[in-house]
Amino acid sequence: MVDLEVQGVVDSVCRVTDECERDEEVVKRRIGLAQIYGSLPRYASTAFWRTLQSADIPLEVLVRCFRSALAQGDVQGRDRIIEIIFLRIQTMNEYWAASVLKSLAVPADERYALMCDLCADLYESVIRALMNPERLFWEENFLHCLYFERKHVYRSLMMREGRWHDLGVKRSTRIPRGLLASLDQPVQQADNGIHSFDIEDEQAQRMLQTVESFDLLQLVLHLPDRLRAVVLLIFWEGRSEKDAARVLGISDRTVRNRIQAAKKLLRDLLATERECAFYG
Amino acid sequence: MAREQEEALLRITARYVAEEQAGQQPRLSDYLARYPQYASAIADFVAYYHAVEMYVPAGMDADTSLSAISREVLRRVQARVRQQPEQRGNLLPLANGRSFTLEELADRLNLTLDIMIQLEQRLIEPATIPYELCKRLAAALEQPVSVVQEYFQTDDQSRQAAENRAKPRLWVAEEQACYPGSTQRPGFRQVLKASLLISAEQAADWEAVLAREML
Repeated sequence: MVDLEVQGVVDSVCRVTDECERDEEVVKRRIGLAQIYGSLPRYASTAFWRTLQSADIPLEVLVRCFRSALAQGDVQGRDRIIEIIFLRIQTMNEYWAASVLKSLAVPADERYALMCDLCADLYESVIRALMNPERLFWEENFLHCLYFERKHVYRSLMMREGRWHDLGVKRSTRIPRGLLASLDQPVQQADNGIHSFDIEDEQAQRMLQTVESFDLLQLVLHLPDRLRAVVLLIFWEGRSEKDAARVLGISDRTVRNRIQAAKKLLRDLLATERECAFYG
Repeated sequence: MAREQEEALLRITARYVAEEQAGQQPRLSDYLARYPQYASAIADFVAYYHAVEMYVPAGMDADTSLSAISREVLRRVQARVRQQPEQRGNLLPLANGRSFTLEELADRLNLTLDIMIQLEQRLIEPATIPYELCKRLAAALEQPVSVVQEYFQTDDQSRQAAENRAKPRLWVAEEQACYPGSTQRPGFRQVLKASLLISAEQAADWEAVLAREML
């Protein structure tokens, strides 16, 4: 018991030290970026543009230059800087767009148009973010902000293309025979006498446990917010229900209910996908 | 999600990604336990990151010219964006065409670069910034003090309060309560104490100002 307490104190001290070190790193990084920005040649001079075009200038510094051009009302300068930024990230973005479309199995004749749409959505959201000076993290970690923009664009694409659907909207789905049999089992009575919806669904459970890690993550993205964390903790990180409840600060019963809800959604999703595959 | 919460989420997930890329294998459960108020958003990002972003190489070479897709898309997007109203810029453009670096401004204010960066990024609670600082900054930028004060003031707090009022009541066992301190901006005194670069003389100068203004 004492050992556990000592370990707890040691862990928390390590965590505090760790966070202090990280904060120090963040401050140092900010200072480094500010120094690079401060050492740039006079705005709009030939040397300024030459420096900006070199690959050594961090994207975060380019964002500050963009915002400076914006504040000065220099539309040409602003467009020139955005072009420099996009030159730096276009290969990565096109790779991202291509890999997203590959996972959707889009017909070849639609692929180019969809790729244009994806890139257009992404570029527009990036430009809007850069034009908003309150979105300061772009000046500190450009790539990470880009991940978030791509996540939003990815989500919108999936909704628009009907790959993900609004969970509030009822869809007609064909339930496989095997699953119907498991649903026919009587509702169990919980210890406290209240009827719970702990329907044993071995097939869905097996699906979640045997599914490849990559596919599981793809499935998790379909789930509503409140279910994602529980599924990841149990099926991705291999935690027990008790552990997951402790981590999330909720009861074991809530964890079980959320797992049941996730399984039900997963079952519907897989049934829909199978039908799509069957009817082409 | 309010802007400050969004920034906090970005910082937390950026730390996760940095650990992942450094091969430290961060545990999702640690993050969820430490930041319960962002649990869903963290889980959402982590799932997306491992499903999609991990396979996109980050360090790709810059191109020398825009691709056909990029050129076409950029032209369309820029035309759309041009129709939008422009927004407020950062602190340095207030300098009336005078050329300053943040380091130079910090020198003029008897402050350090790390504090100056936080001031410029409005990371310090405006009510705790001494008037003397606004006065010195206004003199350096040749602007009225009110312009500098307005720069530091953002309506984030009132907006956040309104959002909190509009939030639906939580059900029992739904989500843990937020830690109120996590998204609050630090005060000027706190920032002064935490500065890595400040000298004893500079600290004493600002402590005296804070005492004089009873902050």
